[in-house]
Amino acid sequence: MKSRWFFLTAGSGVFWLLVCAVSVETAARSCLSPRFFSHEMDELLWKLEHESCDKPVVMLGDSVGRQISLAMRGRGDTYFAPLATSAAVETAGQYFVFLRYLEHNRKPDRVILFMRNPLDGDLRKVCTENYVQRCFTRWREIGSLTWQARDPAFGLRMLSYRLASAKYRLHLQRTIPFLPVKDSFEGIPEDQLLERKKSLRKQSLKQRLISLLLPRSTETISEYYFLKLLDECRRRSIPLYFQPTPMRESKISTPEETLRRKALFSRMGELAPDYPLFSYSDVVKSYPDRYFVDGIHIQQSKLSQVSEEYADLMDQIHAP
Amino acid sequence: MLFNSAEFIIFFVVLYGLYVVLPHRPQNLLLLAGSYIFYAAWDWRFLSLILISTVIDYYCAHAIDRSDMPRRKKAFLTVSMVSNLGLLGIFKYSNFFVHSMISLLGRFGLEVQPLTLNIILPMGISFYTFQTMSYTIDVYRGQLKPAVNILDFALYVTLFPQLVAGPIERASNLFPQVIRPRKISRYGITHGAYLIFWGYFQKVFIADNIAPLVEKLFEGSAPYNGVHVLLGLYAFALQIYCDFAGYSNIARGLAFCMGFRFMLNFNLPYFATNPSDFWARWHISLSTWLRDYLYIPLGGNRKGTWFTYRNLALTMILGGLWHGAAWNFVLWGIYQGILLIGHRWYRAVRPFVAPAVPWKAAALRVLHTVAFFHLVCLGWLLFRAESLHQIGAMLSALFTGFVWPSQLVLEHLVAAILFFGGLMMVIEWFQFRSSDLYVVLKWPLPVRVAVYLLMFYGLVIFGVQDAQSFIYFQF
Repeated sequence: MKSRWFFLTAGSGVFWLLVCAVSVETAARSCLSPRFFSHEMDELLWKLEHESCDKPVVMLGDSVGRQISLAMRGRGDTYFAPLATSAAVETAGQYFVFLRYLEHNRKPDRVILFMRNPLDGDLRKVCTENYVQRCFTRWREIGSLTWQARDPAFGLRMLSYRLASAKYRLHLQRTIPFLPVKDSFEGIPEDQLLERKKSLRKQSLKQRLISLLLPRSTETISEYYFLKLLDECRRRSIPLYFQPTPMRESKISTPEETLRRKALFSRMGELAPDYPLFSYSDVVKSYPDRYFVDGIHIQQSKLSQVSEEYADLMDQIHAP
Repeated sequence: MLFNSAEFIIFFVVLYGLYVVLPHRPQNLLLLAGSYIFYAAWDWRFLSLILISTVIDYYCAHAIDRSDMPRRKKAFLTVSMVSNLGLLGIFKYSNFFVHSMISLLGRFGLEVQPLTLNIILPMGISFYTFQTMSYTIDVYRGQLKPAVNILDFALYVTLFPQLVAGPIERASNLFPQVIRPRKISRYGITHGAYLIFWGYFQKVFIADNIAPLVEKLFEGSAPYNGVHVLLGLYAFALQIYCDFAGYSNIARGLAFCMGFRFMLNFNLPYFATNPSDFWARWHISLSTWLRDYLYIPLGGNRKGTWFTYRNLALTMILGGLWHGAAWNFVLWGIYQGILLIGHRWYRAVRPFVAPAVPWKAAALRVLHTVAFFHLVCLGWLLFRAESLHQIGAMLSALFTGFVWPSQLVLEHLVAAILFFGGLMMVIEWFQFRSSDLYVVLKWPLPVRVAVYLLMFYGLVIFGVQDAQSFIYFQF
């Protein structure tokens, strides 16, 4: 008798809690996901899942790439699918976005990677949680990113975002009117930002130990996913073109930027012979500082001029 | 590594997986290694302090036990006390004393160049120092045999659930559990899991959500509104209790799951009706430590009324100073001492006689509880305030600056306190009424699951996700 009613006796509360939570989550997933988006990455992933974006060219990239590509579309260039989102997703995010695109769309004729530096980033940015861990929550993505981050805690956080209630918690918090909602997904107060960036840059003893015990085959996580992207394109015979985004004139000539560019294009040069379908532009355009709103993004008033120049450039290379 | 971080969850799952399959001796070695990793994750350099404390107390205890001469015993006890209190003094109090001295000399017109020591306060130093001191004192008193194996003793000092914020375990309770094989029972796991869940709920759902409201009040500047200050103090009372009791519950729950039994650290303290009752319910491991190793050796209540009052005052002032090297903690200690002395004096003059009529007795109890809760809140003002000037301004607002705030502000504060604290208040009321802290586990299944579900979604949707430090780590 005791064993027959085991699940209804003391100690089984956890079992029924799990049953109830799974039911609630299933219901929440179906009614929350189409209704609430937090940022451009959520929107893009939902779109890729539910709508057809079939185009001959796929344009991946960061937020500057997104600005320019959307302006180009505004001008009537519709031959490409604008999948550029944010540098926050790093190259790992670009790779997974491309895979998701391929699930529901035809193989494109060409992929353009329109971003500043696809080899830079170790998934340790301030907004990594919001843009990567919360958005890429398929089992394969969780497994791959966790392994590359060499951090089970990173994966555990991603797992928690498989719960619809966790993924859309900000939205759910806002539904209770009298509560002060902390914008946990939308940014960190200015005064804490610098401190947080510093702490993220500092390599802890744990990280140093892990990199000693489980060394990576590549310099950075972004480089690993860049190679994965190249492999995927080679496997499917899709040409991939890397186009760097524009910069401020005052920034481009600084010694560290020159060094960074040199390293980037030297690595690109090393990779090109192994990937015949891969090509890149080693020209980084620069504009006067007044063209930029925050040092990175382009002023709305200058966007049409900049996008026109890039449209001409891309038309020459990529337009079908 | 904080209990409320993903790193800790993975750390514990891996450690526990190994722990359950290992026999007793390797279990101890695993726990010792795990405890050192747990502490080193915060700052590995300060492990040296724990090691120094461990080695000194281990050898001093043996020397005390071996010696037949009382003077020699006393000498080794002194070595242990001086080294433990010396470490505590250097790392916790040196800056405070230097700055206080400079300020005092400044008042007499003597200018002294400030000596900037810039010493980092090692996490949990007050907890493990008191724990090791209690061990040596117990050996000195002949109440405990010294540890045979230094690794067992090291585990007693560093056992990770209680290492950085207690409970301050006594050797007489914890040490036998370290040296004897432990049994992992179904009872231990169910009760442990419940305590862990409850602790996370208190910390992540209640304390961390209430914290910004409290910060806002104490970051503001005078003039204050009395209603705001009062509501802010209610919020802080909730925050500090849930923060600390949450940690203690998680620590006790983890220990339960591993077959240990830690002492109870909080027993519904806000249901206390007087100061003595409060200290029998709040931070029990510290209050009993202070009683056994300070109050009673000072003479306790054996030498007459005035000596008793002196001993109470000294104990509470040092208890206040234990919490932190700042004058507001000293003031808080003095205030607690005054409450205890006042209560003792009043009870001597007018012994308490409970009304014979049940409803009258109940009403009186409610009245005492509410009144004493407000006295506790007044103490929290001294505890939390950032300067003596702020204490003055807030006290003045509390007693003379009651201006009814806007409806919106009022609703916002009251609603947040009730929303985050409501479920806990209801559960604690049932715990109090049944005198059973595990009453939830005895409720009918549907009620239990509903409560778990509320707690679960409280954590998932409203839990603060950036792991926040526990307040008591700084002590």
